[in-house]
Amino acid sequence: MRLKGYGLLVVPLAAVLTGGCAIKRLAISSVANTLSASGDTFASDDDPELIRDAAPFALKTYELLLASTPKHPGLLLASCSGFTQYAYAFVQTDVDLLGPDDVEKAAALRGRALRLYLRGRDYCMRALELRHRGIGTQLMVAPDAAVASATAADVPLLYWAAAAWGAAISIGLDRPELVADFPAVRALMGRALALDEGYAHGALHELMITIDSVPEAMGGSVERARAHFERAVALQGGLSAGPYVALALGVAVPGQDRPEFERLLHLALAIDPERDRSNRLANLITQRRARRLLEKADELFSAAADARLRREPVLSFPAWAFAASAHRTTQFPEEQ
Amino acid sequence: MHSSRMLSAVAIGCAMASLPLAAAPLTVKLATFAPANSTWHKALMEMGAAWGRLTEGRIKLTVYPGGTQGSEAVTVKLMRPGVGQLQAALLMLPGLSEIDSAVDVFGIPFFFESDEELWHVVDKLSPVLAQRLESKGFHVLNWGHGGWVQLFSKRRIATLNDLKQAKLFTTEGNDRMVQWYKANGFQPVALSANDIPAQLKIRTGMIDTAPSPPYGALVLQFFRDAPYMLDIRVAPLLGATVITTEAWNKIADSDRAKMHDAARAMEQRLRADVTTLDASSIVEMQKRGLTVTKVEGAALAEFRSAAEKLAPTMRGSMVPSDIYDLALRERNAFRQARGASR
Repeated sequence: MRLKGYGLLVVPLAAVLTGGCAIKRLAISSVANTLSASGDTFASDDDPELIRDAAPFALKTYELLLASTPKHPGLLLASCSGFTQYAYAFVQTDVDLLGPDDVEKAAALRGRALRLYLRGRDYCMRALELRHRGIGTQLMVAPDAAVASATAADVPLLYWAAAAWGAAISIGLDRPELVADFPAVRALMGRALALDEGYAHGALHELMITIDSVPEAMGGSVERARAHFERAVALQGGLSAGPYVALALGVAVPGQDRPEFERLLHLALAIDPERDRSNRLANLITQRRARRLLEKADELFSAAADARLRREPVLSFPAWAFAASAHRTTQFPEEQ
Repeated sequence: MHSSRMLSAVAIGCAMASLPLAAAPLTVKLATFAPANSTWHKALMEMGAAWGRLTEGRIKLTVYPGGTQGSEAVTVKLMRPGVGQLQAALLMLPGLSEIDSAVDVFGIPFFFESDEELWHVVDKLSPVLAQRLESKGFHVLNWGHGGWVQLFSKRRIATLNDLKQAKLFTTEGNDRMVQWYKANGFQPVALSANDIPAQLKIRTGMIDTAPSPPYGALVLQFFRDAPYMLDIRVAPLLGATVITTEAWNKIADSDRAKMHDAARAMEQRLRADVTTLDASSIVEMQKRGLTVTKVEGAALAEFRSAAEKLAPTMRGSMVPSDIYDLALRERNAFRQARGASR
């Protein structure tokens, strides 16, 4: 996931919020436009801890303004992307930094990340509803038809809605109301790719690495995940650590290929964050995660796997749930 | 060195050598097909945290979710003495029956009707099943539950005859089960479970009906292509968390008791959580187009009558006779007691 700017921050809000009605609306709209305008004030920072502390204030400022201008498209997108990025960078990533004994703390962090992802998704869905009435309901029952009317202008909303929704599903597999809508995530991403394949320097392909890493029976494909990896790296000029970590977790762990896992993470760590300042913050955070993943490789790979892989191909599948009745099967799997 | 100090040093050295060394933490590597962040994975992680806490760090559990360690049959092999690459697993019936076919009693179609009935029989059979597994080198920590298998179909199924007309998925590699289905008038099609969603998607696919717990049908989304669910429970997807006796015997008695307590807590949690998961999965699928077909009256009586005739055909051939008889006796006793209390 690439971290983009939260835009400029806090302005003299008090002055804006105390004027007459028309002036107030105009002023709020002006501030909202400024805040939601794209910029790399956050994304280019070299101090993740500073951004960790500053981001919540920015996000609450967005929400404060949205209370007055609930249909402001720029603010809705900025809120959606902002909550999603914050949840990923400063809440879910913290789970990886914990030790194996911090199960309760990890569960609490995952719960918080889930709520933030859903908050972000809902802002995107509000914006999409304004442009395509009924899309939310349609996505539940006929996902591909629901996104058919989306245009190139919708691609940022399609991408961030899918990113937030997909991330929520991945940590909420015990919640059927989330799991049920995985096809909606695929549909959003499929439409975005069809409309603007190169959006945000390969951000779509980077996310598709993870989406196509799901088991084959759920529509995943290791081959497609690898193809998206290649395309993302090409579009980013090899300057982003994200695709390497995504492939390590999405393909190397389920396949129990520890040499590939380590090779990919070392490649992620070899990237110089200074070479692409617009993506510096994301690279720093991703590299911190990559270091931690290398440290805890024993928790992800058992000694058993190598021996097994020599004997039998892995068929991805969480469908142990299918082991119905009194029979035996010889396949299954999934990811961490 | 002064001689007396030298003697003291030697004495201390000898004394230290005679002290029992603090035991290194034992790491138990556990494999499961349950996906990461699923209900079962979270329950295992909580059990592992409790093991660490209750044994003051002497037992460490590492969980490998998502079936990354191979099929259940392979997982069992990796736990065997002399291999020992895994020490524990949360196995479902396919894996457990690799160890002992007695567990297949829980897979007899239409044998159980409710959670209460199932858990009554599990509790009654648990000692004898645990003993059988123990004799094969596996210690049972708890019994698990993957949900109730139900039937999802492309066309509405409302009667036993409808079901017998259906092209019914069954797992490939189990010819006895295929023959059993055929002998009883069904039309089984043996396939890899991986092929279910694709085959249901095709208009003229090899199957038109697949058994699955509701959560499985939801995760794999095949309710979108097979949008009818027959509201009759085929069988529970029972499982168990087992640890090798080789690993178990290395653990102090006092720690084993604590581990059992945590494992039982996990079992109780799953009994409740999986029931909720089944129910909410059905509700969510209904919101997205699933039609649930209730079976009542004469049709229900027909299913129950057929179930009573089908079950004995598995006795001795697919389930050991003594285990079948015990399960039947306990199930009937439960039904009788329940009937008497009404």
